[in-house]
Parts: sequence; structure tokens; C-alpha cells
Amino acid sequence: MTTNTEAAATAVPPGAATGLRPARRADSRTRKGSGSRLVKHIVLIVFGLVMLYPLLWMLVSSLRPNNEIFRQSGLLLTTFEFSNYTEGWNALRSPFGHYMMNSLIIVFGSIAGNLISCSMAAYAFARLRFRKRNLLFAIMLMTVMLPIHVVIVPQYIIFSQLGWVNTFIPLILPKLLATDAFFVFLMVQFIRGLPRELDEAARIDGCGHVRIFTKIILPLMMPALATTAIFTFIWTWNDFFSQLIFLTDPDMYTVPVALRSFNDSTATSSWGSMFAMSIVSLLPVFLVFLFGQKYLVKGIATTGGK
Amino acid sequence: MSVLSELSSLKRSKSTVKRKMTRADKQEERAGFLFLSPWIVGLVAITIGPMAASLYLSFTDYNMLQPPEWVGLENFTRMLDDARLLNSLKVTFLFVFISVPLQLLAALVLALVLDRGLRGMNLYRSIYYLPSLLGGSVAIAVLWRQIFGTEGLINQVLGFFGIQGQGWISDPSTALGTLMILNIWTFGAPMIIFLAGLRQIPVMYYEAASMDGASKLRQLWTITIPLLTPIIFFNLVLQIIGAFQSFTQAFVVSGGTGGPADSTMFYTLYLYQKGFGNFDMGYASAMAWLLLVIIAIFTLINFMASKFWVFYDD
Amino acid sequence: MMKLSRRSRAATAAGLAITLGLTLGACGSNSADEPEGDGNITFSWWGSDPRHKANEAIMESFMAANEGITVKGDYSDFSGYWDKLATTTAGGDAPDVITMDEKYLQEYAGRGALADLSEMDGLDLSKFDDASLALGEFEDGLYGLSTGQNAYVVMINEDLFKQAGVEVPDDTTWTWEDYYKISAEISSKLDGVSGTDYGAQDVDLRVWLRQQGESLYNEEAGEVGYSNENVTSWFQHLLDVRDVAKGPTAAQYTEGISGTFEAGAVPTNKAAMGWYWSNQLSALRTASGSNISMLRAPSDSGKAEDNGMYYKASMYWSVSAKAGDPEAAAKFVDYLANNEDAAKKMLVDRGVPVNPDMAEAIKPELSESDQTVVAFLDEIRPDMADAPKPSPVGAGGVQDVVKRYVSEVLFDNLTPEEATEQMTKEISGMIKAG
Repeated sequence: MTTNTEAAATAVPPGAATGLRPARRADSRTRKGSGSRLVKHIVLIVFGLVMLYPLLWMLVSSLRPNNEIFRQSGLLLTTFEFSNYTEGWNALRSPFGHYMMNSLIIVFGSIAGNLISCSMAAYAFARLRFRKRNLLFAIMLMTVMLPIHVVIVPQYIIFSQLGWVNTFIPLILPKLLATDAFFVFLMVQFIRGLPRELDEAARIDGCGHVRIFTKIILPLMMPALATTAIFTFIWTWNDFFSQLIFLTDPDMYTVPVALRSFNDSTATSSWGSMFAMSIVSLLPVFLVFLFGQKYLVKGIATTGGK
Repeated sequence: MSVLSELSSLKRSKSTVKRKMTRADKQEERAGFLFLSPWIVGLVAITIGPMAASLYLSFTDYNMLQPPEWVGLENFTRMLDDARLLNSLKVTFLFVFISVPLQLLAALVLALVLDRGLRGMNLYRSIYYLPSLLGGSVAIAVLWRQIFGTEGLINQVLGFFGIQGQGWISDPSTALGTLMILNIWTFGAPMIIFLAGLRQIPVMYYEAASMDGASKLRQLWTITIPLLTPIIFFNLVLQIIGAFQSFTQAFVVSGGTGGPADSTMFYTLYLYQKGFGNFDMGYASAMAWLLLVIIAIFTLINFMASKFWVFYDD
Repeated sequence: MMKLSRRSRAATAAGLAITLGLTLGACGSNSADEPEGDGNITFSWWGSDPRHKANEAIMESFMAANEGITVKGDYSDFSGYWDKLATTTAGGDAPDVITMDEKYLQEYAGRGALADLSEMDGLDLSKFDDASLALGEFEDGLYGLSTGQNAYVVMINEDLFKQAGVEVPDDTTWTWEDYYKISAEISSKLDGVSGTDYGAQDVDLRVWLRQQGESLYNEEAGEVGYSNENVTSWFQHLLDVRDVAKGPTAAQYTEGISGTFEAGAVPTNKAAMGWYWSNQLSALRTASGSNISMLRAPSDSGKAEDNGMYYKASMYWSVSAKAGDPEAAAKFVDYLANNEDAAKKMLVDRGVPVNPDMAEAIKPELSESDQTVVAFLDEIRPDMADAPKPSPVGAGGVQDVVKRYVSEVLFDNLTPEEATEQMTKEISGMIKAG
């Protein structure tokens, strides 16, 4: 860690290193600040209600008897139907927690895969010079331009021939191999935002690429890594289509697949159970999001300022 | 301004970073491929195969249940006089060019507001991200109907002011608009990326600017926005790519029909209907490759234009 | 790193080989030479959790009675089910016992994905009458076995009729004119309630055409089976439902079709009449909390034998052409179709059993609503005509096509004549391409 603090310090513009931090300056204007801060809070809360509405509505619906969900609109609750939760939890072959465990396995595998493989690829694209770099980068972008519906069948055939259908391999292995171009590109942009001087300084110290990558770049791109981890969690947690296709045994089903199996478009669906379990399955994601943000703020902003 | 000049002095042009030895170059190239190796393996083993297969299938008649039959360019010529395909392109273009800029703007503004300095910021961010968490779930279908339906929330509010509403979601002239609102409303992902980008801007720049007496607004224009351009660019490129492939929202809200009267028939939804609904996977593959070409063109334009407005530190 | 790349190198080689295999057109055919008769079968269906529970109980009791056979379930919601089935079939490992729907039966049978049930050992078809077997036939084989029967009926909300002071009509004599009149009366008497919801799906069109002595498809010729004027009159009829019968607006109609079952006008007590399958009665009663009952379809002549109604197979049991152990699969289908324990677990969830012994066996177990359904299907039997054959290959998407043109007509974007012309062209194209 000392290396990069020093390196960052070398990048500080002359005269800035000893400058006052904005936070301290704000003290002199506390009164004016608190007024505008109050306005800010009010505006944020009002808009927050608009953003919160779907969750509140889902919460309310999860507490309504099944046949009232569609006959009543609005957020007023007349009865509390907690049985939606107990019934929903046990409505399928296994308790709902089983599906959450399956999802968690895939999620953690995917996060580990994306963090390692995408950051490696991104470092190569952003910092290293090699033949056909631009061509390879263009190919990488092209891989996200085809809709999944036309590649799923060939993909299925591949994994089926390998005997990997109904395992988590088709869902995790691609992440270990950096097939999520979104995150590679994201990290490329972040690495390119880091001052080159950091690498240069380390090179002069005699660091190789592996060390520059692990000791300097990775710690400094914490916001991008946190973003990747959070998004991978959420998107994998919600990814219905590929999990539906590749998992055939109900014991292997995941949260989104399980949630859909409360639904029947031609007859009664267990809406109450579905909303209740949707709320339950939102909890881990929401918690990850709430606490994962802590890592969004670690980066050059803090390292450079201290 | 001195801040600006300092900034530009930080940005070294490539020519000043001298490459001394070809041996170092070779080493770098080796390292490059080493770091890239998982991606290359993934590309060859997992990605390229299915892509090539779909390209091949676009020249065949393939119903998924029987082996494909070579038909040459027939799928592509059929596309020329498919009026619904043309309509789906129109719907998709409208969606991309209206909702992406608005969504990004919302994301950027919120990211700037929620960046720092307020109590409870974590909670605010989480709440503003909530709609994105629910994005494509079945619950959204039901919810959207309860908001934009004939007797939905919007009309109840309008009714309070004595205005007679309409069925926003079921009227062909407004249905697409409700999907655009849905898309803008789920601005959480680009917002988080902007937030992460803001975190990477060294505090010292602001400190230097404050010492020079630059106002907050001026700091925004001379420091924040320029240094955020790589991230803005990233969001722009990927949101456009994503919006061209928009599927889930229209699928869920219209119950898979793309209705009313094809007004929310996104290109990818039509492709899906052709492939999985009509067992015409050959045609769907051809459509997918046309989409790839369209997206590639826009991405290329984006990259070329980026030379004029995106600033990198390297 | 090392470990990772070694594993991936193997994957690379395999991936390339398979891509080549696919492009050479050998899609999945190589998995046919699996060892036969290993006693492992998979059974797939769509639906919500009560059906999952019932099916799992059936599988349990089947396995208990048939040692050496293991049945595994595979289920999802309706739309996901078909995406998955198409994909797994393409990959050559479709489930062995497949729950099939009328609109996809011929798509799969016509393309060789299903096994001919009439040639399977261990499947006893003796209790199935010819008419019900015909529902699952394609060319010379039997590819789907009816899970049970339904009829398409008018569901009425008797509570709303009472509130409006309108009498429930005699459905053995009522005409379309009566239908419009009753609807208009209820609409005008009750606030926020439509007399009737639209019956505007492909089934409704089928019933309408049958009343004119025509059919939607001419299966033999691979063409549509109607003359355009009768479809034009159907679109005109829907406009009459909107204007004369004071039915829901075009916007309300679109909200209804893309919504969920429970959000429909009848389940939410916003329409006094609507068109449904008979097995939906108990779901409608639960969702609306009202007293719902069933009526025959009206006709032009007012004679029940002219009302065009027919028994439809609610779903089908099919067996994959590539079933690893066809004998075990046949045994399981036989269990589903002819075993009392299985029948008592399904009840009328998938229609009223065709096998009369099963229909009899479940009677004491049925709820009041379901008993009503069984009695009603019995009551209308004398007036029923032969059911139409399953939709031809390529017609899987016709349902959506019909919905789309109906909304174009109801929004006045197209006249009935224009809609007829365009729709016919589109449907013909689909069947021909199939």
C-alpha cells in the first residue's frame, strides 16, 4: 500500500498537497449549508417515494389474500395475510431457502469469476501493448451485440454434449472466462482513468506486470470491482432465462426459476406466495447493495487525499 | 485557468512515454496475452462457437426440431418486405434515442447529488436503485398495469384534478411511452457506475481548484465532467447496445405480445416471437445479425466521436 | 491459472467439435444411441404450485408401484416451458414424457419430435373413445393423449345479473341478438360494469366459423378453411359487442389480453359475462368471489345444436421420439391416463378425464364447482359436434396474430374487411412455411 500512496503523492499538482480539504471549508458556511441541505433532503425524499412505490406495493400485495391483489389497488391494507409467507416458503418441492442457496452458489461463483477474469482482461486491454489489440477489443464488444435468444440453442447443444446440463457449470464457467464483456469494458474505462504515472513509478521500482496489476491497479480500481461484484450479484440473482434453460431438475432450480413456477397464465397463480417470496428474495440483494456501497468509496479518491 | 493547465500537463501524450527496447515490447506482448488468456479461452470455447452457429443458421431454414436446411439469402430477402420487422425497427429506434439519453441524464444528475456530503446517503442510493432491482420481474407487469391502466394510479391522480385519463398502457399511441418511463425509472445501474467513476476523481484536483477560488459549478465543468467522460462514454455505449436489445420489459408488460397493435414490438421481441413462437430460428438468426450490424455501426460512430470529447489519463 | 487453462483447453476442443457438428446439420442426433431401458424418465409440465404438488405426488406413487423406474419432474411457467422445450429438443434431450398443448402438438409431431403412442407397449388406450383419440392424431399416428376435456363456454356472474335485475337467459335457445341485448342492459344499469367481456381469441373465431359450417384451418390442404366473409362478419360482431352490446372499450380489451388471468374483467367483477374454458370455473369463482355459472354459446338460429361448441383436449400427454426408455415412458403415461390414484390427484385440473372409469372415480373427491363442470359437460353432450383437428404445423403463432388484428379493428385502425384480408394472408403464410 505504501507504494501507491507515494505514487499518488507524486501525481499531486504542485501546491495542492497542502491545500485545505473542502469538508473543512464547509464549516464556515454551516448555516447556509444546512438550509440547502434540508431542501436537498426534502427533494430526495419526495422522489424517493416514487422510487419506493413498487417495493411498498409488493410488500402490501404480499400481505393480501390471493384474490384481493387484483381487486384492490392502492396501498391500503385491510387484512394481514402472513400465511403467504409461510405457504410460499413451503409451496414448492423444497423450502424456498433451498432455491436461495442454489442461487447463492451461482452468484458467488460468478462474482469470483468476473472479478478475476474480467479485471485481468481489462488490464491487458487498458495498459498493455500487443498485436491485434484493437481487433480483439472490437471482437469483445461484438460478443454482447447478439441477442441471447439466437445463441442459447447452440450454447445448449455444446453444454449438453459435454454432459453439463443440469449442473451449475454452464452458469459459472463462462464468468470464469471473462465472457461478460460489459465488465471488461467497464474496468478498461476505470483503468484508463488512473494516472499512468502510477505504473511508471512502479516500473522504475522494478515491478513486473503481475505486481503492478495486483499491487497498484487492483487496489485503486476498488470502485469498479465493487460495482462489478454488486452488479454480478444482482444480475445473476435475477437472471431467469439461462437458469431456466440449463437447470432441469427441480432440486437445482434457483430463485428466479422458482418464483416463476408460482405462475400460471391460464389459471390461478399463487400471487400471494409469489410476492411474499419475491420480498424474501429481495432481502439479500438489498443488503448486499446497502453494505456493498462501502467499497464503492474506496479508491484513489481516498488514497490520494490522505 | 491554472487548474486546466495542470490537468492537461498531467495528460501525457503517448509520444512522451518512450519505449526503449524491443525486448521490453516483447515482454509486454507476452504479458498481454497472459492476462488475456482466460478471455481468449472463453471466446474460443464458449462465445465464438454459438455466434458462428447463429451466423450459419441465418442462411438456413431451421425450426430447432429438425436439422437446418441451407436456403442461401432467403431469410434476408424475406426481411426486406416484412412490414412488421420495419415497424419493430422504428419502435426500437424511438426507444433507444429517446430513453437512453434521458436515462443517462437522470443517472448522472442523481449520481452527482448522491455522491457525498449528506447524511443517509447509503440509504438514499439504495432506495433509488430499488426499481432497477425489480426491473424485469413479473411483479412489474402487474404493477405497471396498476399505475398506467385505465383505472390506475395516474388516472386516479388526474381524476383528482378533474382530468379524464386514458388507458396509457393499452393505447397504441402511449404504450411505448410508458415503457420509456419504465426504462428511465430504472436508471440505477448507470447511476452506480457514475458514482464509482466520481470516486475515482482525485480529491486533490478539487482542493487545488478551491484554492484557486473556482466555484462549485465551475469545478463541475472543468474537473468532474471531463474526468468522468470515460465513464459517461462507457455508459453511453453500453446503454445503447442494451437498449437496442431491450426485451424483458416489453415482454413482461405486454404479456409477450408487443401490443397493443405492435406499438411495443421491440426488435428483439419480434425476433423472439419468430424464433421460439413460430419455430423460425433461421429467420430469427438473420434478424439477429442485422441487429448486430446496426449496433456495431452505432458503436463505431460512438468510438469515432469519442476522440473529440472523451479524456483519458493515459 | 494452470488448472484453469487446462480445463478450458479441453472445453475449447469440445466446443469447436460441437459447433462443427451443429453446422453440419447433425443437431443432437448423436445422443439417440444412449443405452435403452435404464428406467430413468423425466416428466415435464407447466403450471403453478398446486399442480407441481399434485404431479410430484403422482410420480411418488408411480415409483412406489413400479420398482426400477425413476421419474424426475421438470416444470416452469407457461411461456418459459415452451422456450425450454424447444431448446432441449434442439439439443436432442427433450423430456421423455411431455405435457403438450393443442397449439404446439402438430409443430412437434409434424417435425418428428414425438413418438407414436399407438405403437407403444404398455399403454392401454381401450378406454379412450375415437373422438378423443382423434384430437391427438397427426397423419397416421397418435402423438398426444388427451389429459381431459373442456368446452369453451360463456361464464356469467349471477350476482351482477341479480344486481342489474336481468334474468339469466335460457342457453339452449339464446341468440347473438339476445346476447347483445342482455349485455347492453347490464352495462346501462350497473356503474363501471360491462355486460360482457370480449370473446376475441382464435377459439372464439373457431366457434363462430363452426356456426357457419366452416373451420379455421383446412388441415389436409394446409390452408385456411374459411371464406373471408365469415371472418369479416366476426370482426363486425366484435364491433357490435363494443357498440351495440356496450362492451368494454378497445383500451380495456388490450389491458385484458396482455394481463394476467386474475386481472381480467370477469375475475374482477367488471364484466357480467365472459368467455372461458369450462375447467376455469373454480378459478373464476375464487378470483371474483362471486357466484359464477356456465352457459352454452349463443347462435344465430337459437338452436343449441348450431352453437358450434366442441370438446377440446385440455392438454395432452406426449412421449419424446428420443425417449431413453420408451417402455417406462409408456408405462408412466398409462398410469397418468388409467390409474385411479393418479386421477384422484389430478381431479379436473387438466380437464374432465376421458376414461369414463376415471371420471367416475374422481366424482366423490370433487369440489362443488368441479362437480358442476362435470355435470355441465355431460349435459351438453347431445349438442356437441366433432372437435376440430389440432392446429396445423406452423400455426403456433396464430393466437397472437388474431389478438393483434382484433385490437387493430377495435381501435378502428382497420376495417373488418381490411383486417380479414391481411390476417388471412398472414395465417396462410404461416401454415405454408410450416
